[in-house]
Amino acid sequence: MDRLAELLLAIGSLCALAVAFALLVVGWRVARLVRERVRAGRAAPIRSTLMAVAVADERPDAELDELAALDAGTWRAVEPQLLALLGKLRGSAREWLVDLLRRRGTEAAARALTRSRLARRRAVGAARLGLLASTQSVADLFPLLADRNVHVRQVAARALSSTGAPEAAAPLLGCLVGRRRLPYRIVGQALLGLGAPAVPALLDAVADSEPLIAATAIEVLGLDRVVAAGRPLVGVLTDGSDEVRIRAARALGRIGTPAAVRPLLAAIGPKQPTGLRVVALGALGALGDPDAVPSLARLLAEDDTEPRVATAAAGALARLGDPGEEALRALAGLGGPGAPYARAALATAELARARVAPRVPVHAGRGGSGPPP
Amino acid sequence: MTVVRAVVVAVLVGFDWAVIGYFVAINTSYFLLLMLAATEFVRYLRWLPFVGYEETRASPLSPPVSIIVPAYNEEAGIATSVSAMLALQYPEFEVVVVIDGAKDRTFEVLRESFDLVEVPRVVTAEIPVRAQPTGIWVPRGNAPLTVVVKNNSGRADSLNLGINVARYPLVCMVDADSILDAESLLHVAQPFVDDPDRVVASGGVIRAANGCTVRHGRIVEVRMPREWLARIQVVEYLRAFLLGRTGWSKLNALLVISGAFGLFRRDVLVAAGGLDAGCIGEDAELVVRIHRMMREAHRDYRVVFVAEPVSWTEVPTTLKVLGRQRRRWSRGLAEIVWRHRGMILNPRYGRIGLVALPYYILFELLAPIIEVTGVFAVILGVALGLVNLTFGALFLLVAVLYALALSIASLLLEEVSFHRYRRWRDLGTAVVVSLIENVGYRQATAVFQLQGLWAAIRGGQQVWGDMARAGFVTTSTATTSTATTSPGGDRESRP
Repeated sequence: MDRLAELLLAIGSLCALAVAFALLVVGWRVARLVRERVRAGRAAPIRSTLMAVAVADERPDAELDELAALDAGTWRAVEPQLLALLGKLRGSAREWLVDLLRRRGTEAAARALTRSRLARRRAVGAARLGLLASTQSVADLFPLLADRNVHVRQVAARALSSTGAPEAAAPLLGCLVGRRRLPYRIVGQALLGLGAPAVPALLDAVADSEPLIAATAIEVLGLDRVVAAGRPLVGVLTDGSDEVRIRAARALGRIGTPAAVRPLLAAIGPKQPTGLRVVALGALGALGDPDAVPSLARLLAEDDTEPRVATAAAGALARLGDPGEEALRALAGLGGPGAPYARAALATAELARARVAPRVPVHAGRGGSGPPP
Repeated sequence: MTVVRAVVVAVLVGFDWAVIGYFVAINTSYFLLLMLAATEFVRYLRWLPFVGYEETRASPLSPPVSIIVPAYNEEAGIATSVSAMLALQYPEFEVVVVIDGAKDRTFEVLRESFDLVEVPRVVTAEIPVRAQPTGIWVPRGNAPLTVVVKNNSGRADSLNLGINVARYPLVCMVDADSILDAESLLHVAQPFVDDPDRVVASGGVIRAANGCTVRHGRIVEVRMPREWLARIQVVEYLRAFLLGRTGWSKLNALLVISGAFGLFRRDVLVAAGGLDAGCIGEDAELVVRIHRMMREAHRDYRVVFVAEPVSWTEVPTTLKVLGRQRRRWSRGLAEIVWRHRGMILNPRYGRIGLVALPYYILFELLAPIIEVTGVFAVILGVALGLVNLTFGALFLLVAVLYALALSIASLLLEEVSFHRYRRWRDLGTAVVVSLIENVGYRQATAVFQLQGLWAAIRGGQQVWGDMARAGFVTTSTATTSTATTSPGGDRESRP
């Protein structure tokens, strides 16, 4: 074959390819539009029934029976809508729909899907069990926490979270380490979703030898403001890895443990890691104990205080009420190294007070920048 | 004379074969990237229902983000842009606007719109900057907004100052005229949630906003632009930026994150020393520098690209502005390659040094040289009777058809994945545009790129020029926003 013939062959092939791609674009769009229309057409007559169930004060038996008697094709179109609706409902309406889905075999099918060979089907099964929030499905979800597919593991963690099963907390924490681990934010959010049932396992994990497990448990306890965690957190604040100590300091500030003031003051010492000092200062501000004022003022007046630490110290002082602001004014007046930080903190505190107080609305075009502070 | 002719013939024939080989290699590489992007899109779409955006939206554990917006002469659209940013769906974030010595009423508009009040604030110099703030302003209300006013020192320096002001561990760089989707921050932050130990930067895809309908700073209807030049860029952005970068991300060798929308770990930015204010392609240079830093520290890391549409920007509608833009991109790329030449073909830098950078040199930087000299060689060959006219014409047709097939394959992937252009007319226009971009547009951009390359070789002062914007179709009033580039810094990022 000579070069011209080769070129002609290439032209023919490329033309065919371009036309094939163009036809695929059109075909794909047509198929999508048809699919959407068919689905909408099947689900449309049922929409009002679904809404009636969602807003009913008493069990709407007639509507539920109507939904339970749908033919297989219509049910396939309606089931995704029902599951989507489930995620937005609380209370009785949710229970009625869960009951309906069980009657139509959705839960059994979902449990079967969790054992599928295909990862996506396992994820679909886990997600549906999560929406149904069935405590009976916990045993089906546990193996998926160690699934070889990371998406399946994430979906299983979320699903376990919505079951509210206390036995899910320890396995969730266990997912933080190992070859098939989960990111701490996913696990942390799942533990937060579990709520109070997770607290005993979280308290056990505070002193875990694995820093990531301890840090995550501490973070969740802090966000949940579990008062019972105060004492163990004080323990790890003085004796733990840097990451664990930082989380413990933050959690103690959130929980508001008065006994934490002394160990937090120790954590702002010059030999402590900067990250810990900054977080501990924030926690001291949150605790609001005026006894901390002299230590914070001393820290702010020092020459070699790092900017991040100085900013946090000034911010903490501003949250300690009148004694704190008095110390800030004194530091601002002295003109030493802490003066700019003190002035900034005082201005921020003033602004925060003004935000709380009612004020005159600003009219468009007038500006309203106000006098300089 | 016969000897001279023989030499010329040998050179031209050799060059012809080199051009053919280059043509096959470059188009094959495009198809490989397209295939990689296709596999990534399939994976993305399969798992999209399970990604967990809802969880990230509501979780107190989602990493807080500081959005940094450098602004220069943006009075027409800054209030709408900032309002839209403040309404983004994300649990915890702040917006830091850095006004880079604007000559118009950019600051006054912000002050009036958000009732700003000046506050004393200590800004740490974690990244050295040329211009310090002359004032820091915050709203009297509760909006998480900080406005930093400073003398003009350019976009890169403004961003560096913004990083210093930023309070949160993730920093998002956004152009003031970018139109963000409401969930854009959720989408680009998700990789940091899913892989917090390794992800150091994520880039969002930028699309052409011309022709789209904008309401309250959001795209509400996606349409093809009216201007042919902008239409061509819509397809070009799909092919080159959406699919190309998805492919590179799949290879974990992404070199460019658009300055118009990119999310970075703040500690990594500080360790890298921020953006290089002396480099014309500072966004891409930053990413290459991050790669370099991470590879030299033997860190396991990822720079990822998010294919979900997140940010929209106005593309040039005149050849003059397009030329300026492409010259700047080309010059920027040349500067980056020169600065980091030690990485090229160096096994120490893994696939960045061995694959990505050589690819960019061969198929991005040198492509216009090959294209333009190829055209001259064909003309010379025809003049000397060395090239069969029929063969030349057919070869040209092969080149056009190859590019057409690539563009339509890009449209197919867009239709399968995001299908943002919902009107049949827009789809038809995109197909037509895929054909006509090969006549005139490609050659013009090749010339612009060559000029940029020449400017890089020559050195000398960087000339930024003005970027006049035509504005968007809005549902309330057909306003025209006009932004100009600052004397010390470019306002328009590479998408």
